[in-house]
Amino acid sequence: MAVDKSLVSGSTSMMILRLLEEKDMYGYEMIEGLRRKSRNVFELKAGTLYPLLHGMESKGLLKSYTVSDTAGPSRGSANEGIPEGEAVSKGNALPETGKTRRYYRITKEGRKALAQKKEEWMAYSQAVVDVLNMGGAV
Amino acid sequence: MSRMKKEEYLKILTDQIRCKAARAQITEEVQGHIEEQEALFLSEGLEREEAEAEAVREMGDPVEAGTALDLIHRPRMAWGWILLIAALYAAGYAILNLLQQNFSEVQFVAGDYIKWLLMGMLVMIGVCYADYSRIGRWAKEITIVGFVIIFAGIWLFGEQVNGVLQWIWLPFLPFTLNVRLLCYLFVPLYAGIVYHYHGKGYEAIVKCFLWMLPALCIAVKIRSSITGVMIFLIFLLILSFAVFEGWFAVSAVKMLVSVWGGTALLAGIGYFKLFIAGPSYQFERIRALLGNGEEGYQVQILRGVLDGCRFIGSGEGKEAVRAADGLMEGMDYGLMYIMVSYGILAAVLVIGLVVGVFIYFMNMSVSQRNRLGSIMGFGCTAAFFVQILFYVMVNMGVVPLGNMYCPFLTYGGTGVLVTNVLLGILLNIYRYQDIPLETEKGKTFKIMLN
Repeated sequence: MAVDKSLVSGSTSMMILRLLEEKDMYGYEMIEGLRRKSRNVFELKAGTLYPLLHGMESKGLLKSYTVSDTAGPSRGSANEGIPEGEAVSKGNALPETGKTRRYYRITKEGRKALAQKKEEWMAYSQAVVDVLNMGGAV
Repeated sequence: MSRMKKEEYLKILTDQIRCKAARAQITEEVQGHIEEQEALFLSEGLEREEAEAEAVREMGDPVEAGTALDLIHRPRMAWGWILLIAALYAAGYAILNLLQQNFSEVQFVAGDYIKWLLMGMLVMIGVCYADYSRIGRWAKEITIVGFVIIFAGIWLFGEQVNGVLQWIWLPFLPFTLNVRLLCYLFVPLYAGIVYHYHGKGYEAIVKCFLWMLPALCIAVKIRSSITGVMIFLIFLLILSFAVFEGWFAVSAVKMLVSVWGGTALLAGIGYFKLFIAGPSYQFERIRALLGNGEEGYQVQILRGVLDGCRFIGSGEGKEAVRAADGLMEGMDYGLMYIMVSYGILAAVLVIGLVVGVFIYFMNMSVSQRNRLGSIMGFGCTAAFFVQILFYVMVNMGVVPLGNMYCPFLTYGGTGVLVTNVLLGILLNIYRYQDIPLETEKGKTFKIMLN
């Protein structure tokens, strides 16, 4: 199958989409999450992350919203319907600290793109493994 | 090497971003990130100054990041859409001229339409360059000023045409303005006003209803009940959009049921009082409107004409409409004339194209990340859809209202100007839809093996 030429550079966005598939996150949390999940292999600079996030939001793969406390958003679809760029208060149950974080949520298009990128990556990595493990003469 | 402070980092970063409107949000987000990292280093035992410097160092090169963000955060001019709109106007003008050649006894278009179209394009581009958020911010004030100006205009320079005071003759300019169409300028303003009340409760909804009054009062003043109905419908759609999106601290379902149920109930009561329990002439009038009385001859002729239409090409309808001897003005019944001249398919394609353009704008509007842009875009496109709906209904003989405007298909100066103001607002929303976001260009990341 045809593999996207930007496979390697696109893998960062794939990994970010995968992280966001689990739950909504803010930038700092994503860098930490990526480092932890990759067992300290991937260290993404913030200066790389934010253009990537904003670019993906522009493409409709992500949507952002701000939350004005330290507790973070609820998981999954709890934030569906929150207009982007708008501050959301977490209500009275949690203490307000005045700190505002911009959270990102994966969209339906984002999930589709992730599935496609995963498929391409699997085909690519399997092909690499096959070549590396080949036995005898070519 | 000197230690960089976070303010310095943020300044270098944002200096790379040309669009000033995008800077505040980026600063807030990146600053939050640095502070989070700084707090971690502090908790690990670093001194404050050292923690800040380390946190900034972790961020990477501010110039590189700022340049990448600059590519994303820039306004985009929708030249493609401007060209398409110009092409649609040109196509509309060509169709009207073709029809004019076929039916010389009916007026479809006049020579000065080119002048209006050119002026309209300039107005659209001008509005496109303005900042729609300012229109939204001052929506209440502009509504009041607009209301006063239009009312004063009617009072001082109002001109009766066919016994109806619906035109303003401008003494220093060589044209008159159709007040019925000017009412649509209140649509984006109303959307801006609804936006102002977001987050509030039932009281705000009542206020939103009160803000419908300026435009509706003008419709009453010019005695155009259909303009009032159409404007009210558009306002109701805007309000419903905001309620549906959960912008108000009210129960969305209850509110939508009450608003639309209440409107249907009022319409029912009005219908009953006017036509059933009212004077007998009103009853006769509604019969006539439905095509059963003597006054319904126009609708009957129209239905006869439509019966004679073919799917492709001209049919007997063409002769029937000629026999009607200019009864139906080309300016109001353009679609019907397309149907009799070129067939039903041609009319469906023409109206489908216009609807398709506005469906795109509707999608673009409702997916806006900015609430104000989203509701203003929704309002403008809702206005176009309502106009097209009534235009098609009149042309199909469903409602015998006459005198309907359809963007691109109806000759008229005020229509072009008002349509282009609304289109300009839509293009303006498009222009800023990626502020602060836009396509990211080929960034890579570093893999550090520990």
